[in-house]
Amino acid sequence: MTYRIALVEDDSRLQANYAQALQREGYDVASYSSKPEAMSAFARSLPDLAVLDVMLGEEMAGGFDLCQHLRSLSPVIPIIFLTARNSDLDRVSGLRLGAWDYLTKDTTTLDFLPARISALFRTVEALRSNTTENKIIRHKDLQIDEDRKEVYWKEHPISLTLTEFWILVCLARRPGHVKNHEQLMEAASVIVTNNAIAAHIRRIRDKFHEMDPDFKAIRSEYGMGYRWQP
Amino acid sequence: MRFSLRLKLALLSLLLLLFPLLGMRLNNTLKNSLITSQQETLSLTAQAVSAALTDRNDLFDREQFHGLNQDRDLYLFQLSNIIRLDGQLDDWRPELAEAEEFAREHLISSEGNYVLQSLNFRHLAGKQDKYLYALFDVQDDYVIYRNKNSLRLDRSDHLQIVIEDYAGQRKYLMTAHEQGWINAFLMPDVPIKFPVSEQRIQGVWNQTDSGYILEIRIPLELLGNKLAFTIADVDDIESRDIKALIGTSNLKEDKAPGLLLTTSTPIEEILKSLDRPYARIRIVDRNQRVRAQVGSLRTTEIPQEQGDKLSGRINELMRPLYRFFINPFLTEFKDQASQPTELDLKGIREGLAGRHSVTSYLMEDGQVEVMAAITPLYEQEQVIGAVVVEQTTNSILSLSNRLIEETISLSVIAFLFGGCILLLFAFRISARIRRLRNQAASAITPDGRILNTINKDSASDEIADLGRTLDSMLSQLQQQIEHREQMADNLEHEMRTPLAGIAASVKNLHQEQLDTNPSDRIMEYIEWVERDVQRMEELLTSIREATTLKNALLLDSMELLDLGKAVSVWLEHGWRPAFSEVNILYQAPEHEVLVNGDPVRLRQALEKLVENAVSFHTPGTAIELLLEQHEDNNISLLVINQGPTIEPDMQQQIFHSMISSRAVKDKSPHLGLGLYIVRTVLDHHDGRVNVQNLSDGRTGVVFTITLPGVPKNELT
Repeated sequence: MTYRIALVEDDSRLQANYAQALQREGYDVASYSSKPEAMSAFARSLPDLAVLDVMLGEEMAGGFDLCQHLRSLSPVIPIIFLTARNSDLDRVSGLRLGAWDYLTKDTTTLDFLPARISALFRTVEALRSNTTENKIIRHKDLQIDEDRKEVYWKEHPISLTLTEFWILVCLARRPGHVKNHEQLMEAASVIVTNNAIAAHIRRIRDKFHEMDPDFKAIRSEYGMGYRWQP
Repeated sequence: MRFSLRLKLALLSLLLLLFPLLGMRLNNTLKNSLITSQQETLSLTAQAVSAALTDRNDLFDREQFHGLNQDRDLYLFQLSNIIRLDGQLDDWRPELAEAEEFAREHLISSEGNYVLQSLNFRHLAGKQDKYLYALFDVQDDYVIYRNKNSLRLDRSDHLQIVIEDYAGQRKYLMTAHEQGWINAFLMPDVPIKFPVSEQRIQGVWNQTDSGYILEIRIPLELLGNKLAFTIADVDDIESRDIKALIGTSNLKEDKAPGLLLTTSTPIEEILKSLDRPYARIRIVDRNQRVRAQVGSLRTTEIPQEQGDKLSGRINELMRPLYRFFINPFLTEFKDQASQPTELDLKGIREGLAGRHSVTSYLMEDGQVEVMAAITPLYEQEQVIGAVVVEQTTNSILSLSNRLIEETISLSVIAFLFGGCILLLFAFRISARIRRLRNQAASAITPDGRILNTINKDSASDEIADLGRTLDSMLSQLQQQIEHREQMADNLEHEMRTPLAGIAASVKNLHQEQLDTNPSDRIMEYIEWVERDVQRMEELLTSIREATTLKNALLLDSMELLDLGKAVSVWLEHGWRPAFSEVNILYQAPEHEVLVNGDPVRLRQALEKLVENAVSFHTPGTAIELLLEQHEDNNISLLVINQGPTIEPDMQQQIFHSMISSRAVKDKSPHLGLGLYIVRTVLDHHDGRVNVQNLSDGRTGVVFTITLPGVPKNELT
């Protein structure tokens, strides 16, 4: 079966380029360049996955509105945000809009977008199949269901985006081992600066802190890297 | 020489000292006008007195203002002391000074040549109570007493008294057997009668080294209006002839004694009725003898205002100060006890010549100034005397002094208060200006960053305006700086979307071409485009890093780390692999060097410095890292490289955004953001960074990072 992807992007050339690339990967891509256009389309039929630009035309947060709307229609459709501004990353991660992942629009976007999409579809399938033989990582208070992309800390679910999830998994697989920035970037399928990795780590820590103010399991190693050490 | 604002205002407050000067000036004017008015008052009083007495012929007749002969007339003083007949001179003071000398010119007769030592005397007569007292201080080379066996009274040294009244002349004689109490004898009209003792005329004879003193007392009722005293001198105890006669009147020639003059009670009664307080009115006759006197120079005490304790204290404190300004005067003084036989004031002669005058003279060593108005006294167009009205200027002086005292007190108080207030004001203004200056100075760091704004001054004066102007200047400057930094951010953002578009297009092109088996050259072009796009993105990313750094730093978390070990790790795992061709020297300290910081950011900052050192170092030389913790716990990390130096005026500039002093082109892009990042990170860690050229003989630069260290004792 061919997955249907809705691509909402106001820059027509970027939209065309991304659509082309995704079609080449075998997806059925429906492109929209504004919020109303996308909304009316969603009213007719829901896509299997949505790629949303945060800023749509003049609307600084048009993508967020769209995300909320889509969530109201279906709680399970994976959503990937494309952001032009770094500062939006925090909002995507923090707003808990039900977005599953986010990517910055830069020269590497097309390198990672297909991988993200396929990863999300795998997750969707895993959730659907409802198998009990999931790959589970357990380490003391931490429990990670790799296929379902679910994270529990002291039995409480932690809602992470896909990027954050991968970084956490990378760290948690080998507790006590330092992962440097490059390793973490590779795991998260992003090419970003060291500082961006630090920002991701900070977001992950924040989410754990919210649940457990004493959370200290992600240790920094002289700024060279991080390790999981509860 | 630098005058602070404070000093200037303090000097200005000295202008307050002009007040006392004004006060003195005013006081002077007031005093002069008071004196003038007092003169006028005195003059009027004198004229009034004169008018009241003019043409009282009867009075003047009776009081013997006519036909005066100064040589013969006896003037009776009003004696101020009670006289005891004891042969001593003490009780005659102070009138004694007015005693008249009698010698050759009063010689009535003499056997042989008159010699001064043989006989001369001082004589003084005065009245007190109901008696006339007379003193004779006689110089006599031989004092001859009366022979006890002799009936003759005139065969020894003796005193002759001639009294003339309406009944005629009477002659008395006083002589002594020895020192002591004596009485007079009334001499008979005819020689055959015996002298009769007159017990009412008493006296004391007291011998002295140079002669004798004779004091006598005569009841006033025995006296008429004429009186003469004559001293007879006998020097030869055998012959007992009268050798010389000296007297107040020459009875041999004139046949009549001189007039007995004294102050006139009737006139004094008239004067008293005029009732001039605080003034002394005197009438002098043509011989300038005081013939009537009423009143006293003494003024009643001017009551000192009994102020409250405070003003009393102030007065007490200021008294030494007053002395410089006020005219001292005596309130306690003696009226000139004895009126001189002749009142010799400046102006009296003019008065007796028929002119008014007002004069003043000093008494008691200049402590008391007396003002005198003199007016002639007429009788039938003829001047028969003068009226002298005198008053001290004490009341004016006292008023004037009080005015001066008050002026000084008020001035001093005003000066203290005003001075204090002015001084406070000066301090306040000065402090405000200084605060403004300090704020302005500290608002901008030497490297041109704006740290603070200037606190708004709530006052609405010029200083506050200045503060506001400075503040708006600063904020404009701040905007300029922000704009410059913002511009980079905007540029980055605006370029990112088209760049992403290009990248996506090239990616697609790349993919499409792969399917069509393209020529190598086309694939090469595509790769070049891709590489250039990446380079551009790297540029944009570095701009973004720098411009969003401040915000990003706020999100970072600080932790305690050992910088000594961290630098080793970063060097080993980051910089040595990255710059394998460069020798980087670092000796980690043996003990922990703890800082509170974000390791990622610190590493980023140090990495920029190392990158900077690498790109500027002279090939073949080593780069040195030097970490030290000082006694004050501050940590300094030096990054030293040999190579080109930096101009001193660039040494602060290079830490600004988008400023680079690179002359050489380099492989990697440089926007002059690296050192800006270093500074921003260090600021965030309360640290500093600065650069200096090497001064140890080598050519190169040393970047010094200073960070606050964590004291070891705080760890536990």
